[in-house]
Amino acid sequence: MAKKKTRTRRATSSATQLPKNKSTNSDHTVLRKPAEVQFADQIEALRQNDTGIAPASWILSPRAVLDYLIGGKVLSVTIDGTKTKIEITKKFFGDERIIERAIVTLASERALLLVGEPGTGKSWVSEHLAAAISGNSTLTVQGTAGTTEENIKYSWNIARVIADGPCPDNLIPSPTMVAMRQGGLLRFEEITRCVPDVQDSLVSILSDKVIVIPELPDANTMWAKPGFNVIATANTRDQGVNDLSAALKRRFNYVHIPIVADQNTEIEIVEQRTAELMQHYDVQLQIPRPIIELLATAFRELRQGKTNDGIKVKQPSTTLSTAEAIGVALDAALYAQYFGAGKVSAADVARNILGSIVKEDPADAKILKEYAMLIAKRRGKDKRWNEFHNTMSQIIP
Amino acid sequence: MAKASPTKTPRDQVAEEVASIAERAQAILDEPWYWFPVRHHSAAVAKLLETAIRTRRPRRIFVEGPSDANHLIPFLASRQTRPPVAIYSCFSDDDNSFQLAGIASPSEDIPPRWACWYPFIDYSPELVAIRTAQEIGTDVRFFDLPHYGRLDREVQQLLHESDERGEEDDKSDSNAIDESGSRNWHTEKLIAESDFYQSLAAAGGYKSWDEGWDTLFEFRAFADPEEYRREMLAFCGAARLSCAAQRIAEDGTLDRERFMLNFIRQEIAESGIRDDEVMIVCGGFHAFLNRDDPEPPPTIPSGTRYTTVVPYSTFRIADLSGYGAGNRAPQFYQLHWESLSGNEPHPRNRYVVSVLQEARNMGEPLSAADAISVAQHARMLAALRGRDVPILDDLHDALFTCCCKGDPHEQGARLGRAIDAVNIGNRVGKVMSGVPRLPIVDDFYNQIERLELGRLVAREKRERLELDKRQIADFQTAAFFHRLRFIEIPFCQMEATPQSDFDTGLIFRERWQTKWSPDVEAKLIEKNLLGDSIDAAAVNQMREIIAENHGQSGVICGILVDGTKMDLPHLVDQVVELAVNAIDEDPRFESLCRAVAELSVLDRYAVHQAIKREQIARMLNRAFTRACFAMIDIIAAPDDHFPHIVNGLTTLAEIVVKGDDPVQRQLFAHYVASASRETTVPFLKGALLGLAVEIQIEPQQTITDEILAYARSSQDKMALAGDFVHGVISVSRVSIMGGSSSLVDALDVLVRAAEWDAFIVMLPRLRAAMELLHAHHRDSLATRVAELYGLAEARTLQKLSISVGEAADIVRIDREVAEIMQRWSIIDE
Repeated sequence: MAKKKTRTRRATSSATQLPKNKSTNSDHTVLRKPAEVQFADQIEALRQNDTGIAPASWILSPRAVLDYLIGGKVLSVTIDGTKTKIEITKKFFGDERIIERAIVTLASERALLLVGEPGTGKSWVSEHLAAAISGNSTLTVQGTAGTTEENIKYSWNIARVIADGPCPDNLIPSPTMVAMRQGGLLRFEEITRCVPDVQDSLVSILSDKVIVIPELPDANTMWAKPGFNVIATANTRDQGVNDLSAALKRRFNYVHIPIVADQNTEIEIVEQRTAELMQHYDVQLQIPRPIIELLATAFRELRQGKTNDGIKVKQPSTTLSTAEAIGVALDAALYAQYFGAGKVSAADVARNILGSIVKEDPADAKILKEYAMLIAKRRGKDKRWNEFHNTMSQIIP
Repeated sequence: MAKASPTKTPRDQVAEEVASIAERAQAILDEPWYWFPVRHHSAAVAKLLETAIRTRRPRRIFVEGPSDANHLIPFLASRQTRPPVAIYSCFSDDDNSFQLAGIASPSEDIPPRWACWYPFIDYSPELVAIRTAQEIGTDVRFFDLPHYGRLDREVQQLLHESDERGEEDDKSDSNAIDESGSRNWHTEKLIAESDFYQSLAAAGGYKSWDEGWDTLFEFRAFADPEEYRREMLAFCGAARLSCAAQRIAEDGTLDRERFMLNFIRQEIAESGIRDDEVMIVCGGFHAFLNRDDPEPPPTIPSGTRYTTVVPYSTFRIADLSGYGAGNRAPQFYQLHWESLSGNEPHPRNRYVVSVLQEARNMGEPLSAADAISVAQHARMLAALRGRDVPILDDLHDALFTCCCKGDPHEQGARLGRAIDAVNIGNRVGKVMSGVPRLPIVDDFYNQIERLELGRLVAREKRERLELDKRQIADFQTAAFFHRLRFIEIPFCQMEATPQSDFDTGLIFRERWQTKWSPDVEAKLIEKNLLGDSIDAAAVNQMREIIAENHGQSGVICGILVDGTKMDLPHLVDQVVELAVNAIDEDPRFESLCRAVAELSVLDRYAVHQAIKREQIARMLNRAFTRACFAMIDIIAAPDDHFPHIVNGLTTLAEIVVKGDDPVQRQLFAHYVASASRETTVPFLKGALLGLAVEIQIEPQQTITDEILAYARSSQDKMALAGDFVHGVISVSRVSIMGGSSSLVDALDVLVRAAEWDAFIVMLPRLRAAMELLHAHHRDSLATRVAELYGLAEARTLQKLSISVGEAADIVRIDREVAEIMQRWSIIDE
C-alpha cells in the first residue's frame, strides 16, 4: 500500500496558510501570540471541514466552535497547497455543556458573562471563543477601578479636535466600536472591577446595539453589524464590590465556570498547559507525571480542606486555582533548568508552591507547613512526598 | 458478539453484526404474536401504542405487570380511578422458608417481609393499553412474575453477600423492605450498561440514559407505530446482544422471561385465541427472550401476600423521591402527553412559563423576556446538540443560562427548586371505591369508627382534641393516637406532653391535633408490611427497634415509655426484662442517663397505669448507679458529645435534688468530684464543677478560684477559660447567681489579663455561656459589672463616652464573634 503524504502534528504554534501568522517554536518575535494566531491552523482546519451554518459574521459554525474548544478530532486540511492532518487540541477541560451554553448565548440576543473563582480559565475560554468565532480575540477592554466610559465607547484626538473640531477622523474608536463595526466579539475582562456608572454605559450597546456620538451631528449613531456581541468575565471573589445593575444583568446570560471537579482532569490540565508553556519558554525539561500528580494533589487537598483519604486539613485563605498550579509547575521547571539539577523534582515544587499559597495572610505558611508535617510526612514511603516534606521543613521554619 | 474473523475488517464485522441484529428484529416483527416494545412512563410510546391497539384491534393483550394482580385490572381501567396510582404487593415469609429471619429482618422472631409498588401515571403505556383495550372490548392480562417469585434468586445472592461480609454487617445493612419495587419492571439498567448503548451515548454525547432515550425516541416524530417498533426492536436487540449473558442471568431477567413465556402459552392454550390475535406489551429487551428455553419457570413461594391498587403521587414516581420509579420529571412528561393528546407541537413553552412562574413565587425577578430567551436558547442548544426539538436537558441548561445570575448552586438554588417543583408536580391519585383495602387500612378505619372519630376523617381539615385519660374512651383514643404516631402515620400530632404537665397535675390530659389527608393512607400502606393492624404494626416496629438497638438501655427504656403510652401491657412486660439486662450491660454514660430520664417518666405513669412501681424504682436506681459509675468515661469526650453529656448530668442532678436518698446523693457527689479532678477538658471541668456547686458539694468559690487560675496562666491556657465558663453555666445557673459578685470580679481579672489573641478566642465561648442565662440573670450580672465600674445608681443614665468609630468597631467585633459562634456551632444561624 502506498504511503499517504500526510502527517499529523500537534498544532500549538505551527504554520497556517497565512504567512503573516506563520509561527514556529523558535519564533520569539512576540512574547505571547493571541489564540487566533497561535491556533490558526486548527481554526483553518475546522473551517475547511465545517459543514454547519455559521451565523452572520462568524468564521465557524457553532458546532465547529465547540469542536475547537473541546478538541479531540484530527482533521485533513490543505494549507499553502499542502495536504496535512491537524489535531484539534483540547482547550477546555470540564463539562462541554458549559461551552455549548456559552456558544449559543453568543449566537443569541444576549451577551455572555463568564463567572467563577479566580484561575478557573474564564479569560482563557473567552479568548478562544473570540478567536474561533470572529477570528480576533484582541478587541478587549480590561475592567479596572479606573476604566472610564471613554474606554468603553470612544475618545477624541484632542489636538486635532482643537485644530479641526470634532469629526469622524478625529474620533478614536474603542475596541467596542471596532467590534461593532466588524460584527465581531468584544471581550470585557473583569467587568465587576469597573464602577457601576461605567458598567451601565454598556446597557444601550447591548440592548440597542448602538453607540450614540452626540458630538457628530451628521453621523451621530454607530450601529453594530450582525454578529457583534460581548463576552465579559467576572470574578466571584469580587462579588458585592461592583455588582452589575439589574438592567445590565438582564442583558447578560451568566455561565458559571466551576473549579475542576475531578483530580484526573486537573492533572491533565496542569500537564497539558505546563507543557505548552514550557515549550513557549524554551524549557528543555520534562516534568514527570508523578510530580504533576503530587502538585495537583496538594493543591486539591488544601483547597478542599480534606485529603483524598478523608483527613481534615486547614484551608489557606488564597484561591488555589488550577491556573496557580500551572504557574507552580512552570516555575519549578524554570528553577530546575536554570538553578537545579536539570530535572524537575518534588523539592522544586515545594520551593515554588510557597509563593503561590502564601500571599496575603502569613498564617497560610503555617497551614502549608502543617500539611507537609501531617500529610506529606505520612506519605513518606513515596520518595517524592518524602522529598516534598523535607524541603518544606527546611524552607518554612 | 461474534468473534472477529481474521480476514474481516472491523467495518465488515460491524456491518455483519448490524445485519444480524436487523434480521433478528425482523424475525420478531414477522411473528404472529404482535410484540409492542415499551418504556415504562413514556408518553410518546403510550401514544403510539394507543394508535397500534386501535388499528390492530387484538383479542388479547398481555401487559408487563404482576400476574397476581389480574383481578385488579378492572379497577385500573375504570375512569373513576385517577392516576397516579400503583399496584401494591407485599409478601411475608411467615414460615421462614428462605431461612432469612434474622438476616433480612432485625431478629429471628421477625419474619422477613418484602413490598413492591408498580406505579402508573396517565401516560404509562401499560395503563394506556388497559384503558384502550377496555374501550374496544379487548381482554388484558398481566403476565410478569410477581416480585416474590424472584426471591429465591435474591436469597442466594443475599446469603452469598452475607458470607462475604460477616454476620455483624448483615444485620445492620440488610433491609427487608424494598421500596424500589418497580425495579422489577426495569431492564433499562441492562440496556444502559450494554456496550452498544455505551458506544451510542459516547457518539451522541448523551450524558444520561434519560437524555439518550429522549433524543432517540421520546421526542422523535415517527411516521407510524410500525416505524417505531422496527427501530425500538433493533435498538433493544443490539443492546441485548452486547450485554453480558451472565449479567442478564444474575439480574433475574431469564427467570422472569421463562415465567412470561409459560404464562402466555398457557393462556392462549386455555382461551383458544389465535396467535395473530395476541398483542404483547413489554420492555423491548424481553421481545428477544429465548423461545426454546428448556428451563422451567420459577415457582411461587408460599407466605402471606396482599395485592391491591393504592393512590400514588407524582412525587413518588419522580426519581428525586428516591423510590426508584424511574421517571425524572413526571409533570414535564405529563405536559408532553397532553401535547401529544391535544396535537400541540411541544410542551416547551408551557413548561418554561410554569418554571418561571414558580421561581417568581419564590422571589426570583424573572420576566416574560426571560421566558422568550429561555425558549430561544433551548431551541438553539438542541440544534447544536443535533436534536430536532429541545428535550428536558436543553430546557434545564437554557433555564440556568438565561435566568441564573451566578453559581447554579448558590444564586441558582431557588431556580433549581422551582425546576424540581415543576418537574415533579404535586398530583396525588385516587382509587375508585370498591378496591380491596389492605388489612391495616381497614383496621385504621374500623378503629376510627369504634372510637367514634368519624368526623376526623370526613374531610381534609385540621381538628383539635383534648383527651382526659381518666375517661375510658379518651384513654383508648390516646392509645390509638400514640400507636399511629409511633408508626409515623401523619394523622395526629400531640400538642403538649404529659411529661411537662405532670407537676401541675395534668398527666391525665393530652391535647392532639389531627388532619386526615391522602398521605395517611399512603403511609398506612407502607406500614402494612409491619402487620395487619395498627396494634400489630406498632408492636412489630417496637420489636424491630429493640432488635436494632440491642443493649442500648436508653433506647429500650424509651420503648418502655412508648409501650406504656400505647397501652401495650404484654409488650411492656417483655421489654422490662430486656431493659433490666440492657441497664446491667450498657457501659455508655449518655445511654444510661437517657434510661434514667425515661424511667423517671415511666415512674410517673406507674402511679396511674397499674405498672409495678417497685420494679421501675429498682431499675431507676440501678440505671442511676451505673450512670454514676460510667461518669469517669466522659472525662475525655469529644466536643460533639458535650450536649448529650450536659443533658445526662442535669438529669442525674435532678434525681438527686428532687429525691431524698442520701446514698444516691453521696454516690453522685463522689463521682462528680472524681471526674472533675480527672478531666483536662475545660468545658467538662466547668460542667462538673458547676454541677458540684449546684448540688452544694462544692462552694461557689471553687469556680472563681478556677477562673482566677486561668487568669494567672499562660496566654495559650488562658484562651481556654471561655470553654470552662461555658461548661459551668451550661449546668449551673441559679447557684452561680448566688455568688455573682465574685464571679464578675474573677471574669474581670481574666479579661484584663488576656491579650488580644487569647481574648478573641475566649470571647465567643463567653458570649455563648451568657446566652444560656435567663434574661433577668444576665441583667443582674450586667448591673454588677456596672457597679464594679463605678455605677452608683442604676437609674442614672451616663452618656456613652466612645466615638462613633469605636461604636462601629464594637458592632463589627460583635458581628464577627457571632459569625465565629455560628461556624463553631455554638449558636444556631
